[in-house]
Amino acid sequence: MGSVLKAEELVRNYRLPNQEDGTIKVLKGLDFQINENEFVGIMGKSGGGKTTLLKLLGLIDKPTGGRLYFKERQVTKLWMDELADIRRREIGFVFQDFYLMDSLTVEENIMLPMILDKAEEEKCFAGAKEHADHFQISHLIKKYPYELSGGERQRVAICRALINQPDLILADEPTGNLDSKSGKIVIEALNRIYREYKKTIVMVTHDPQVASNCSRIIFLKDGNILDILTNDKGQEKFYQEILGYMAEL
Amino acid sequence: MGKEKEITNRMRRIQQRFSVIMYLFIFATLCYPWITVGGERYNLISFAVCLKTEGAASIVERAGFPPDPSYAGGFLVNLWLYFVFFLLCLLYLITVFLKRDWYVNAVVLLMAIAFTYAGMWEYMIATICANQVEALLYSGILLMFSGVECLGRKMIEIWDRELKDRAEYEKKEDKEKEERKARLYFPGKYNPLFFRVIWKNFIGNLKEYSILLLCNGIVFAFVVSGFGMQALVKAGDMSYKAGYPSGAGEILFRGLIQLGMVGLFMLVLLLLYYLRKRLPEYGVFKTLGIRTKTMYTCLGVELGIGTVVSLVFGGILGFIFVALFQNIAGGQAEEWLSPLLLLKAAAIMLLIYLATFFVTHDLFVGFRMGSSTDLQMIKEWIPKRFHIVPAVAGVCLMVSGFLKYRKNVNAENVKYLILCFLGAYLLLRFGIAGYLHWKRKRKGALSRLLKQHPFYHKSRSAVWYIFGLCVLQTCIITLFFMQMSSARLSENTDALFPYDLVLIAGEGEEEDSFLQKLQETDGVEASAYPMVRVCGSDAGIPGVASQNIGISESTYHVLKKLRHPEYEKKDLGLDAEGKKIYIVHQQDKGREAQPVDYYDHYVPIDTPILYTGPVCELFSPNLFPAEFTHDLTITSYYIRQIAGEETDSLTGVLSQGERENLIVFSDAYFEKAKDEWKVTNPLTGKILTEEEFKAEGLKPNQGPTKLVLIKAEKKVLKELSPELSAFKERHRQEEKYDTKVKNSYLKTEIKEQADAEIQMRKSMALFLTAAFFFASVLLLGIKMMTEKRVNVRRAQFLNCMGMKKKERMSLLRSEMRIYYILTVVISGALSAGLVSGSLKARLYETPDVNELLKVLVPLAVCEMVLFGIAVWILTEWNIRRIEKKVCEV
Repeated sequence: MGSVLKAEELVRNYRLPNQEDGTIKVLKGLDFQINENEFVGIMGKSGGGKTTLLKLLGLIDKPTGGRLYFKERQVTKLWMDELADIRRREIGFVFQDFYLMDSLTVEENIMLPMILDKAEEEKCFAGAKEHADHFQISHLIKKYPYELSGGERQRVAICRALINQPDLILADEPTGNLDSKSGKIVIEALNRIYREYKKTIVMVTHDPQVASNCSRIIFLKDGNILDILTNDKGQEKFYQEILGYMAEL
Repeated sequence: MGKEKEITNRMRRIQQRFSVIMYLFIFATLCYPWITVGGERYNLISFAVCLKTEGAASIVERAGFPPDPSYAGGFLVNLWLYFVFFLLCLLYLITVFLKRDWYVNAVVLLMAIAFTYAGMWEYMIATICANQVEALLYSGILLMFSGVECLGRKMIEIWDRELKDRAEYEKKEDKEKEERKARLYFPGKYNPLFFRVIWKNFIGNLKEYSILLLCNGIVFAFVVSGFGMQALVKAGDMSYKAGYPSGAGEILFRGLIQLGMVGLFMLVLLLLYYLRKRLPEYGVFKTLGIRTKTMYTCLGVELGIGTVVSLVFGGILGFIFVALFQNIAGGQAEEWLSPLLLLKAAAIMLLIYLATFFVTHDLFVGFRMGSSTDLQMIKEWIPKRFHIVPAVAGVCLMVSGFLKYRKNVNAENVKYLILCFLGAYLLLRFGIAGYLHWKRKRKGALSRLLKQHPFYHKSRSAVWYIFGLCVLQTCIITLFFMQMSSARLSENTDALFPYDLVLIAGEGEEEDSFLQKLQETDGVEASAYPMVRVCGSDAGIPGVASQNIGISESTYHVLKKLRHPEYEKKDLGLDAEGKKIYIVHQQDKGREAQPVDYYDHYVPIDTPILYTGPVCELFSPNLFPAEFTHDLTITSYYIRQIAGEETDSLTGVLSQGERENLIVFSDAYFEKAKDEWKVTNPLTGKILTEEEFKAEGLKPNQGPTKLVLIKAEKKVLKELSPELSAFKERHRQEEKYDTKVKNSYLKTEIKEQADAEIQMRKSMALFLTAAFFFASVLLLGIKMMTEKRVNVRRAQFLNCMGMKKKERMSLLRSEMRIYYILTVVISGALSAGLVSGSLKARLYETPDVNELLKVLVPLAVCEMVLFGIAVWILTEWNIRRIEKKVCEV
């Protein structure tokens, strides 16, 4: 099984003029690998570097030290537009705040990555319809995001993440802004992507219940990897194990 | 060696040719007959032959040197050295042809150095030459050729390496370009959906975009109208043509600067707001993988179209403003609109854009406004302790600013206004913090917590908003309303010019006969009064020394009585030594305070430096600082004390208080001052003894002695114009130093200028009031729009907590009420202090103050009420938008 993402001594610092030494060390040298068709969770307490790591893995941000490989290609050696191409074609994003554009209809929001990839018009419409059908939101397709509930919006975001058939889906607390029922629907959707579409998913979450759906969990503490936990004993036991680790965070 | 081998064949050929050429020069030099002995010239070979045939002793003898056997040895060594040198050169040329790098040229160079040095020794050939300089230079030339050859070869190598590196770099770059092209290959065209999406996204922000365009357009309108007005004023204002705007031109110029500042402020404010709104949306595109070029093209087109539209809109609006101005104030330029004017306006706009870009960029990056999440997380520092010291410092600064602003000598300088604002900021920042800390410890603090929420949560922003509003409101009242209401005091320009002609005459027969003719002419009422010129400091800067009219106390009383028949003689408190003076500022009452030595204040500011006599061009604290720092009171350089001063026009407002004010001396001193010219150094102004004056051979300069005030009809004055022209011609030389100081002032001419100034002052004040009011409303609007998201969340939270809609609305209202009340109180206090300062500085008398306040106070109240209405409308609109969002949930 080939690796989709590989981090070697990954470091990310931020410069802040108000800080005494001028820098905040958010990630302090992480080593891990994410393989194809894995559902990896990232957990840790607030300010532990989860979102920063996800930004690096999503090629939105660049590391300040170490190496990060996306499908054997070293990210720091790629041009900005190459990174943009990878993001557009090979990565799908699902955010806690949905990041949908209120001025566009649901259909246009779903098609957006295809539109930006210069796909043909018919293919865009067909792709949007197919994914909307799959996630039972075809009846909402002509509506605007502000007319939808949180769960519906997140499903639109998932459709948008999948439309270019990327290999990697990055989800930043996808259930964070949802009630438990909507959260469950979203998690089911992600599980289907993992099992049926055979995609690799990296998800940042605080919720141990949501995390128990993952095949592996990376625990972050103060910018370091505390441990990596593998789900090989069934979901319930895995959930208990996560709870145990969470006490240590 | 290795590197040598790397050299390309082409370069090697160039190197070879270069070496051959250089060595041919060397051979040619070796053949040159450089040795002159006994009037005959020899080259090295002929000298060797001569040495062989004649012998060294004979050569030395022919050269005129005492015989010495050592010469034979010296000549021989010298010749052998040259011979070896020749052989080495030959060897080197062979190696060059054989393409061998044996560095023989380096040995040749060393050799050349050696016999250049050896040539200076005794017994060598050069020592007996008649042409010694040439002989000594000879070896130097050989050294130069061999040195240039070595250096040239090296440089060719370097050149070659550079070429190779460049070629390699270009190859690498081409490869990289190709690789980049291949890696970033993105064929095809965006489908119509792409343009639909971009368009819809743009339309979704049309409101913000329109506000930006509107503001952009208004700023451009200000710029266009500024230039337009300038064109109108320029046509009738000579000072503008001279490149030194004064009067109406100066008022306009200052107004334009103020407009530019407020324009910049508005643009920065709006651009910040627009970027905060737009960038997160482009952030979504970026995250989803839009190409950088595509994104910047979209942004560029968006802003480009906006700029063009706003420039057209602004141009039309500006045209309307100028037309209105022309209607109100009049103007002499018939066709003011020209392509050059639009080009100038566009250039200024470009400068404003650049400044806006840099300021916005700094603020955006500095405050991390790129991400709304970031902005919400920024903790705004609320001062926790040491409130009293900075707050008291603020009060002190304000008081000090007020006190300075009150003085006539400070000419209502804007720096004291800034000092007051600085004090107000410190008071606001630390006063509010102190008050909140104090209140928090007391009962009932919790009930007020929500109302005072912005001051706790966003303390810095809240203070900046209030401060901004205070500055704008204070400027409106203190600067523009003051300008409008004081202009009313001088509306009767006829009263400002009691005489139809004012002459500043001198001594001489021609002058006397002219004055006599004037007095004898029917319809002319002329009276002459004795005067002396009184000049201010810093004549070192041409055109700066303020030239005034010095009169005696008796003349003052006469003139005052003539101007105001009800005047009763009063004691002016003058002394016989001339230290104490009384000043009559001859300016209209709408004009800012204008001290007599208005340009420089090198000595204690209440004591102007004024000396009698014409301008002495070297009388300058800049040129002679030492003379101005000590012994001032005992030398001829005078520091005067102001015994009293007033604003009036006893001879007429001849130069708006900048020049031609009346300086009144005691009668006793005036008599003395009249004769001081006889012993005054005309260059430095120093008073000497008669002996010193004679010893230095100086030529005395008397200057004008008579102030002639004439009342006559226009017709009569026209008849006298040949004599008047002759008078002007006689005094042309005196006007050379400062063209604005004349020897004759015709009422019809200066009155026209004064009218234009008053109109310009009123129009600009109106124009600037509108601009500053608009900026205040805009500032509030931006505040509400940027805080909308936070306020919606808070309202939603309070709604969940069970707070009623009415209570929530009242909460928002009371928040804005605090902003409004604080703005009104602080700007009211600042304005009261500054306006009272202006009244004092301008030396207004009680009737003038009453007259002015009758206009100013209602204007200020109306403005505050109007501002209150604007705040209320904006608040209600904001509340409705917030509540609408709450209801949507």
